[in-house]
Amino acid sequence: MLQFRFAVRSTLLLSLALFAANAQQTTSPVLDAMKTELARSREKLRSQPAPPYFISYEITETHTVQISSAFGQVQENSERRRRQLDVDLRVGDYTLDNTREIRGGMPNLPQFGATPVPIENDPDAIRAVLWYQTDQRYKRALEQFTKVKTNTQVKVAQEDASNDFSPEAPERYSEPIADIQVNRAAWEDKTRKYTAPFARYTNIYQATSFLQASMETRWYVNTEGAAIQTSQPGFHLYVIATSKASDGMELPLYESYFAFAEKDLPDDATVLKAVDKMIHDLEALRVAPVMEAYTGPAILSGRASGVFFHEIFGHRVEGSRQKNSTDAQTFKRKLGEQVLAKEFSVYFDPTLRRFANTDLDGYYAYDNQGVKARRVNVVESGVLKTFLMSRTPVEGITRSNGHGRNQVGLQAVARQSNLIVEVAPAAVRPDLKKLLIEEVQKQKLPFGLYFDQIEGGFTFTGRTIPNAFNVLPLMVYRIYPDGHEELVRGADLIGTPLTTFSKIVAADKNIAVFNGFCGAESGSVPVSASSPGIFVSQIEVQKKSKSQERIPLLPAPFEGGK
Amino acid sequence: MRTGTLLLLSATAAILHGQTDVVMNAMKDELARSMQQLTVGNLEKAYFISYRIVDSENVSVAGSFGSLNLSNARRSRILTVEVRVGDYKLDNSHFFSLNLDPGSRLLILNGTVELGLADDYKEIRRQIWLATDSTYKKAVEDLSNKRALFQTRRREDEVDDFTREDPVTSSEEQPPLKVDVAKWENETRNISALFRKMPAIYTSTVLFNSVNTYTRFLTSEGTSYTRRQSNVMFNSEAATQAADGAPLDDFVWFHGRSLADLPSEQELSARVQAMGQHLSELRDASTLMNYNGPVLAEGDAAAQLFRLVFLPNLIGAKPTISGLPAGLQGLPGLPGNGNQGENPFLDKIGARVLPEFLSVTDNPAIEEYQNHHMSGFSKMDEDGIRSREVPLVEKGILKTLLTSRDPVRGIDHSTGSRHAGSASPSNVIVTASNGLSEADLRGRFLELVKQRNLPFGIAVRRMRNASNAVLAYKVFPDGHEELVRNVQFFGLNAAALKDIVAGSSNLNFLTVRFEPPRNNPLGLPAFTEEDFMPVSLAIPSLLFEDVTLGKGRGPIPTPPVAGHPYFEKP
Repeated sequence: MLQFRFAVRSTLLLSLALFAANAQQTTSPVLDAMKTELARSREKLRSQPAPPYFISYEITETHTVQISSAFGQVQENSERRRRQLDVDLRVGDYTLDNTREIRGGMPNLPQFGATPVPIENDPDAIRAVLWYQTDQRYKRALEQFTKVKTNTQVKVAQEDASNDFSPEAPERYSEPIADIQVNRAAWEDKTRKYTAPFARYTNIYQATSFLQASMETRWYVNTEGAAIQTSQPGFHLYVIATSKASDGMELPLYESYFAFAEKDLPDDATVLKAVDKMIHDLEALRVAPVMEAYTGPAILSGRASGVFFHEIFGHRVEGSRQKNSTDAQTFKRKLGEQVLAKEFSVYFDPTLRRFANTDLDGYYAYDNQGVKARRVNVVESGVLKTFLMSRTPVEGITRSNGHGRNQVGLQAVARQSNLIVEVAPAAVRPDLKKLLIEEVQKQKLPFGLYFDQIEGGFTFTGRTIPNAFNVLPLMVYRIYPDGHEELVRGADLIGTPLTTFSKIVAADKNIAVFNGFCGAESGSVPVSASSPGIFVSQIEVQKKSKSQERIPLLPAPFEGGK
Repeated sequence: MRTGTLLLLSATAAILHGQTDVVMNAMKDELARSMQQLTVGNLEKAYFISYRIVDSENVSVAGSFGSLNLSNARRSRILTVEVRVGDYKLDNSHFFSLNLDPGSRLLILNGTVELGLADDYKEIRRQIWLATDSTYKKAVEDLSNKRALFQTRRREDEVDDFTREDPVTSSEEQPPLKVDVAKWENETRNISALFRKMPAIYTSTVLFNSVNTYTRFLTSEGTSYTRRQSNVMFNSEAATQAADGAPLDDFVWFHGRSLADLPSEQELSARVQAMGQHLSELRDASTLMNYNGPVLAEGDAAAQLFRLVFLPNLIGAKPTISGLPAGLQGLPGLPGNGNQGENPFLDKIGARVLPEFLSVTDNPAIEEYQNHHMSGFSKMDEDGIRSREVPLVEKGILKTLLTSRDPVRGIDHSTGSRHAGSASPSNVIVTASNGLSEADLRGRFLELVKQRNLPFGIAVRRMRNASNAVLAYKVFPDGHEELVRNVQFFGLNAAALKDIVAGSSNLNFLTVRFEPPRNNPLGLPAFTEEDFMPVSLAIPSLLFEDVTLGKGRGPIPTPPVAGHPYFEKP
């Protein structure tokens, strides 16, 4: 199951000062220690009967400040700094190595829990960890490679005969190491302020705001000669509130903001305005009618459409999925074919820092396999051009395009970055609502749907279960033929990819960005999805899973207010 | 080592304190309202509710090879609500059920929620209100399901579900630790840097941890207490491999209630140094082929063996009944499923479980014994019951088990032993009535070796777990010793301790971490004082007549291909 959570509103209008990533050559004690130990490990292992043909080390330092409040009271104010190590060690050669899928066997489970690395720049202490982990990984790789060789002989020929690893140009890049300075007391005040308005209500059961400020510094070296140092800040601010309808249905709402600089987070007035709207929306949701199963036309807001594309399309163009024998490989044989209306293009661009006045969380300069990030046009004028590639080749695509990503401690696979849906003027309509009403009348339906806010979604890409997707909306409206709108609750947007793709008809000009975290086999990675609002001639709604718990039996122990 | 000052405040002082404590006031007011009004339909109200709020401040500093790995500090406030419906004879407790509500993110598990850090009366009441509501709903449903189960099944025992105890109001104050983080960071660097002089050690870590807690506890029976308590610990671990690849590892662990309880940096360094040295020597030690004969457990090993093999049997816990659907019952790993029966020692009360010359007592009321600091000291247990000495084994005969307010067959009242969330030992003292001097004990041991016509006997000085020794020696009739490594015990269990032939008059002192068996392993209250339980042991060296030992079995990893980079430097 792949999850994509947390909604965002693209209300940021502040200008962002791009900080220049000076590619200057500075000495880095961490990088130097890694290079030295890498060279030594390689040399020492060379004498072995099956030496590794590739080793990479990646050390990720995260310095995180987390401050949270609930109902106007501070709950957490903590700070931590840690470094963790990833080792990719391969035995065999580029054509066949220890990472190949063992068909019919247990999945090659990742090692749980990343290895801690000293947070001080002492090369001896760092090298001690690198040495021991290299040895451990080497032994595991040897064992695995033997299994791989047997498996390739025992099982039928593999459908996809591509290599296991792509050679790539050794990149050398160094950004100055930055750090974050957060005024922790000020953020205690802010998060208290953001959640205090909820405290008057007796029927709001959760109201939390938290700031997660982090600086992620990564050092990467490999035996091909790559040496990369990047240092990237990120500020996430969330407001989460949950109420409950009298039938037990929980009604969560989220506001989330992301920026590369603290000063580009919204000001208090903006957040408090959003908080007021949340309170108002929760009130409205509590009494809104429950949506029954439905099929018919719908409008998806830009954010909803972004998540929709991320789920139905994005996960299916991740290269590694075209290879794995248990994956459905929806688009594998469709390269060069029309998969979307010809006015629609989709690209992924991890080098983009900002789009539609919003900072993009899927930005990075180099992926987790030492490959330079680049824009990838996946669909041009409706035609499927290529896949998102890590260093795992698939039939017909032998090189990475800088999308090998992973959460610390897991093996990198092809993952999404900043997804952007572009629509040619021919399919842009000034008023999607008009289009929707026409379609409703044509199909003789009582109403159509408008999906506004969403919290995320998930999809299944395997062969053993139907390839459905599910987008999880928070705010959905019925639109009636006379134009009036009615808020409903309890609706999930579902479908299967190929059918749904053929029903996307038009778009508007209201481009919005959804920043969030995407979870899949290589862990949780930050991504974004941007799209204009779209009109889909037919979607399906499934009833949302609902809590069976009553609202509290006793009234609140204090007077509530409006 | 001496602990910090402990004051037992007078009852008046505690009440005065309570009046100004808005947190305690919020607890009291919501408790009264819940007891009086909380019900649904025709279902019964709670007969017992307790609230526990634990404030903690945690500091952790860790390092390896002369460098820091982390240095963190965190504060939290955790509420735990307990609701009992029914009566003391039969209530919703000891019943395992899962509240699966896939549509819910508000669901409160085990009555545990994180609270805001400020003393805000209204907000604390809001959270207590919601947590009580959720816990009550599960309690009434569990009780109804439990009763339904007993309609078609015979209740195997007629033991009550909850003991009746007299309400107590008390307070315990220990000055909080004031950790100098920079100093700990330096000590961590210095001590972990000792391994830079030990080429034989492959991996090593050093960790300091301290926690200050302030607990407020209140029950509908009228018990209330506040307790300010601190724990501090130091841990160092190291690992290597023998020439044949066999893994070798060991640790040093110290615990205290105040910073003064921890050994000085110098002494910590000496202990870590000694551990590293032992491990280095072990690499070259020989292994032991099959051995059956006398074993002398000395020093740490006596305490470790007793703690691992015997102590868990001295805890009385009521078994949990599974409320899962019939098809899921019998699945291993879930509480109340499979063969998770009673403690076999319940049937041995009044019977001999140790040789006649050994007696065991648990005494949380002492903070010092024979000039040694005892870490299990407390004035009251987590139920607020006054701590007292509990004689467990007298002259080899089992007298009782340690219990909390979970009654077990034949034990109707709590022994005041609820620590770390359930019944648990505190300070365990084992004495031998006819204890021998160390020299005489060793003489006796060699006599047994001779009687068995063995070339040598085995003395064990440190254990790694219940079946593996870290430090073991062949002791030859002429008295000389030879270190052996990777020694494994086969079939050593509590019953084997009945056959101990002799003990020393001198006691070995060791403080260990103890995790009591849990009632509800799937939903532990987390992050409270309850996950940190030191137990101090004082125990003679013990001579076993007949133990089977051997070399560890199973595949052995190969040694590292390359040497440690630091020690291979030109």
